[in-house]
Amino acid sequence: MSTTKKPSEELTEGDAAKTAGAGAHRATEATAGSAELSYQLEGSVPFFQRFMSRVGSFWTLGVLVLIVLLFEVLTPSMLTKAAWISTADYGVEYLILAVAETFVIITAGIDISVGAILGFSAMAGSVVMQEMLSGHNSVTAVVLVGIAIMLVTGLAVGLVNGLIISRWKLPPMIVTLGSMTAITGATDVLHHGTEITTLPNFVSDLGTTTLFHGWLPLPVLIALALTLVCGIILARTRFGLHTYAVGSNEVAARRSGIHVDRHLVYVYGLAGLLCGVAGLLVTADFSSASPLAGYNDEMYAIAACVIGGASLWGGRGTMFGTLIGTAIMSVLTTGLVLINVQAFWQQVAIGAIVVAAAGFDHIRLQSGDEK
Amino acid sequence: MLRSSKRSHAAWFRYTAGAAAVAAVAVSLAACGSSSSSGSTHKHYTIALVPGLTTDPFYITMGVGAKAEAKKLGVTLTWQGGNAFTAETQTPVVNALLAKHPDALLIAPTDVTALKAPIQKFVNANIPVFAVDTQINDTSLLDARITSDNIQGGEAAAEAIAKLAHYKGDVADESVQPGVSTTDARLQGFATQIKKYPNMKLVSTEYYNDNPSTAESQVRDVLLAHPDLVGVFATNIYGAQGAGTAISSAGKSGKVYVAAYDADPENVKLLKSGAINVLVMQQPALEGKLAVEYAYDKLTGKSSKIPAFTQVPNVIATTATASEPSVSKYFYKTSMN
Repeated sequence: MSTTKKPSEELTEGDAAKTAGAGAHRATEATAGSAELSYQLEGSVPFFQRFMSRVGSFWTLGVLVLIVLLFEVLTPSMLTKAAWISTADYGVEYLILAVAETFVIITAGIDISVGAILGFSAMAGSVVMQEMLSGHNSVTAVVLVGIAIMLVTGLAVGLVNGLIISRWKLPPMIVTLGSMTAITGATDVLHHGTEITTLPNFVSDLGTTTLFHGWLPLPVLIALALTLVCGIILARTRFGLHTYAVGSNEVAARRSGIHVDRHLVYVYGLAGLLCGVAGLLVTADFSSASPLAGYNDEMYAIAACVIGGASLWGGRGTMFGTLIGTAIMSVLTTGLVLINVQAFWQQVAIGAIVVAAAGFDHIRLQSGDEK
Repeated sequence: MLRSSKRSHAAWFRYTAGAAAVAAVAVSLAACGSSSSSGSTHKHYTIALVPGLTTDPFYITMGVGAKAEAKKLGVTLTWQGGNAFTAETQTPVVNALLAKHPDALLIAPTDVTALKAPIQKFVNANIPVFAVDTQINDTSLLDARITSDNIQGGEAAAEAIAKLAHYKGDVADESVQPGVSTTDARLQGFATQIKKYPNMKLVSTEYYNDNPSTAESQVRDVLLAHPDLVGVFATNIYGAQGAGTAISSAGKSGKVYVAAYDADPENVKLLKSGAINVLVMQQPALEGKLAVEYAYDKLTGKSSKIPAFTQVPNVIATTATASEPSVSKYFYKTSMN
């Protein structure tokens, strides 16, 4: 347990440093920020800068392909149905949380409460379902109410995060650290820190249903569909454009008439809602709601975003990159088991890749400076 | 000047970052290697053992026992699991193992419900599954179950305390929380055995939620309320730690005996120092050995030899016997080698 906790502490420190330096950084690089904004708004960018921002995704895709090929060379079982299912199943939870985190990170924020919201919303919905099952309620009603509660709980916590961050002008890091701690406690309060296993069969069916002769588990389909929808929202709608604008240069965004505070509330709310969906799928996967669900997940969600090219300075990141980032982590997990290496090496590998990806991001920032 | 140095710095960084990522992957792929060992001339079997977590001495000892038996039978044993006792860390390992299609799966499930779906996939693929130590609710999926005899463990603890106290005086229980099947069985065994001694009485059962300081204050209160207390039975290490502290600070060392569960290195240290007087030791190595043996029997067509449910007895260590090799061989290991 203590070994799994360590990275979170380290990243916490790193982020505190980032938050402290953020103001100065923004002020000195205001010109770079507005250049980025104009890129988002007009699409006219010098070739080199565009190349550098695109090459990030290619780089991670290349690493993914390389890892898969390495594993395939080392073990004949990497490109099999069972390995694909294992990889995809593992990725569901982290993909949805990483998608949520991507929106937040692009606004130059961070949400470390995503795992806690997952666990809390899953527990809240499951407590209600368990209670309703003991009464005389139709199973359909139980399921619908349970799902609704999970989604609404996630949304509500996210909105509270966003309200506090935007109205009180507090660092997102501190606010979501607080909500993570509070919600983790609240999850234990809901069911005395024990798990819930009395759930409608529909819930476990949701986790075990597969399509295309077992090649596509339903939760995987849901996660991929959500990623696609969120990718479109981010890349093709005004909401997405505003998200980039707020993260690129908050002052410029304000001056160009964007309701920055309101937008942040929406972004954190959307992130919370997505965590609620992840809570539902995790509950379905395990046919139970555990007070430990979502523990440490924020680390993987942030890692997936960073590997995928999202910048913790804000203004940069794509859903495609986040998908690749999650895929790299999932493939590592499955592959390391297949070649008979203990699972904790996965953390070592992910940590190294995160640092490398962040370093790459740093270079892109510098290249932007020098154009 | 600043600019050019910045540029070369950036170029350096770019190559290093890329190289570091590739190296990181390569290193982790090459790391550890495989623990396979081949032997027999007929069909070669691979058996996968998934412990509750890979970093716990109990499960490491189980792995050691299983590995020794696998070597004897000439089968390959893989030992992989999560690094925390949760379904979330164990499930991906179990799912990934399916791609390797081992001939049998030995598993200590971390959750009675959540591990059903992953185990079902093995059953669907005609891979026999054996539960070691813990189990799942749907036992129909399992070819056999092997676990420690917790009632016998509680009885043995009672017997050992009674002997030290010359079969006279009051005793108390300290347990984690109500409703945990293993620790409840230990308490039950302890209570049953104490009833067999006419001059002894179980005066208190408290729950400390894995918090040593809670256990400490509870035992301090019990000591005040029952001056004739001669023994405390704690169902895990935190209770034993708390009880030991309370007893020594009350100046009752040597008058009130502490019995604890499991031979983890910390417990053994406390046993040798006299802070704990009795240790109930499970036999994870034997559990692992039996699991491999049963799986091998199943694969070689000797299913009739496999009992559906096996309870492995516990062994007692006391401060006096702690250094005897016949006792210390049961202490849990911290390394697979």
